[in-house]
Amino acid sequence: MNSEFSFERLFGLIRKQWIENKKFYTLGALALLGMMGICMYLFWVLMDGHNYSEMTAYQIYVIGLILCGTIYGSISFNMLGNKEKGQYWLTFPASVTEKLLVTFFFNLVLFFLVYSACFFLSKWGAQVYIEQYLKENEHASYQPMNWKDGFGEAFPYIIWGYFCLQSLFILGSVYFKQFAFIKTVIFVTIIGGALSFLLAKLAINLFPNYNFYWNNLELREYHDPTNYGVYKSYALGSTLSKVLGYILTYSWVPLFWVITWFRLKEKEI
Amino acid sequence: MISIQNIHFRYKNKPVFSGLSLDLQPGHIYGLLGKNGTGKSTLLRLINGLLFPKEGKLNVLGYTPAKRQPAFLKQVFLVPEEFYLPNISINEFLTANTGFYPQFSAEQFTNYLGEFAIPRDQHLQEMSYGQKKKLLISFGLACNTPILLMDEPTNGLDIVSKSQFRKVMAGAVSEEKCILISTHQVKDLENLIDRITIIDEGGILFDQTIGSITNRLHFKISFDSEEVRSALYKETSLKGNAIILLNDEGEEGRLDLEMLYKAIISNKEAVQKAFK
Repeated sequence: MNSEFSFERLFGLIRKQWIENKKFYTLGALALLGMMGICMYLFWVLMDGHNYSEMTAYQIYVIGLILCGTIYGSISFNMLGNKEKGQYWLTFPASVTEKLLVTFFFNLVLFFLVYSACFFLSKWGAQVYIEQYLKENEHASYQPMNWKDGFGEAFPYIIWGYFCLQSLFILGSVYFKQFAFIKTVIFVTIIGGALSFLLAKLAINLFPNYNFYWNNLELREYHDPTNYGVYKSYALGSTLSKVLGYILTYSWVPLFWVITWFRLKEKEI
Repeated sequence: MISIQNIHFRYKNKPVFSGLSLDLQPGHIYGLLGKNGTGKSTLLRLINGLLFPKEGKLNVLGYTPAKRQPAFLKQVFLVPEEFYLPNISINEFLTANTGFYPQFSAEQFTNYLGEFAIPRDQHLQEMSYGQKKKLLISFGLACNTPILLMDEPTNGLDIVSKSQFRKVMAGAVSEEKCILISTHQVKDLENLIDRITIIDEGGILFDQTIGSITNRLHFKISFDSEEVRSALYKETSLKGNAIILLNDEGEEGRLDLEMLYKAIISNKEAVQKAFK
């Protein structure tokens, strides 16, 4: 066995986590299915009236995922706020990497799969009802989801954003011993707000006449207000902007997990 | 096996250890005694890697505990004073945990449970605090880790369980194991430990083997006023004066741990002088 990582220990830990929490996971999944069914009925079947849009269902999915995922994420390491549970967790013969991977597996991967399964099951039920309703009511309509426009196009990015947010809430559960969810929300609001304010102030003061474009990480200065086709442009170049864009988009999840790993390493109880 | 050299530790502004050094060897049951708040539990948690020393060196089985490597953690078992057990059955608990302790013996575990009269088919949440503690002690012993740390193991145990505990522990000693028991209930460790370490004011106040103590000190009941006057420590009771004398004559006697502890706390210079 490697000192830091072994598959045998990892699978042993997954089995241990399952044995010790299977009641919680099973009841949680059932509660999630029930809540999803209720939400689907209230906010889609009832509130969409006669004009059903599949997009509403996916909006319910996204809102529920962010809410439930962040709440669930913020209890990931709540045992560290409790001396007895913390001792039990920290002194167990496995490395921090393995313990973190098990949390990753249950809280990030398995939760997402179970949540999505609950959604699709509820959606399937609601859709059966809607199809029946459409057959019986000629004036009723159904708009399928358009994946190439607006919300549909942004959907994969929203899901990725959710993973970033959940990772941040998991990190928050290591930092805050109690009320991790509320404290992380406050922290994110304050830090996020302050950072946005600072960046906006910096941009206004440093580049007063420039507009910023995310697409190419480009700054443009327009000279003629009547003709926006004429401008001075400063860009990083397409390859560099793409690389930076990828880093800015996809680095948050691994970054938060690495910080969590270091925080767990130095945790004392 | 456990080498502690000049360690310093503090909780925010409260210093606990300032230059504590100690060396613990296998084949012994060490009794770690001290007043409340002197750092007995802290020392166990430092040895187990739950806390990190601010200064000094701490080496356990060749590992630095603060790194909490799996190879180290599987060789050390801590029975904490306040502990957590999941809401599962005993058999599920074993299935979940035993794979991580390579020396775990199911047979020994069953025997210990038998000694403590704990039914095997019970659910952990149905058990009383004392039963859970006995289960954890049984599991810790059956893991056969070279180092076993116990923090106030007899707290919450009834009188019968305390004697069961002493019996079980006496049978668990081996040449390879180092058992460190922290307690303030010194009577519970009588006839069990073979070395006493008392910590106070951030350091080691007293550290002697039972053999050395009985060689140097003599515990007796006396009615002789001259003898009582020259005692290192005395307690008046209805049966006479319980006293501790210097054992100049090499007399054999029974060690009274509680009296020794009180003597060290109240008259430490005189007791320490007896061992120089």
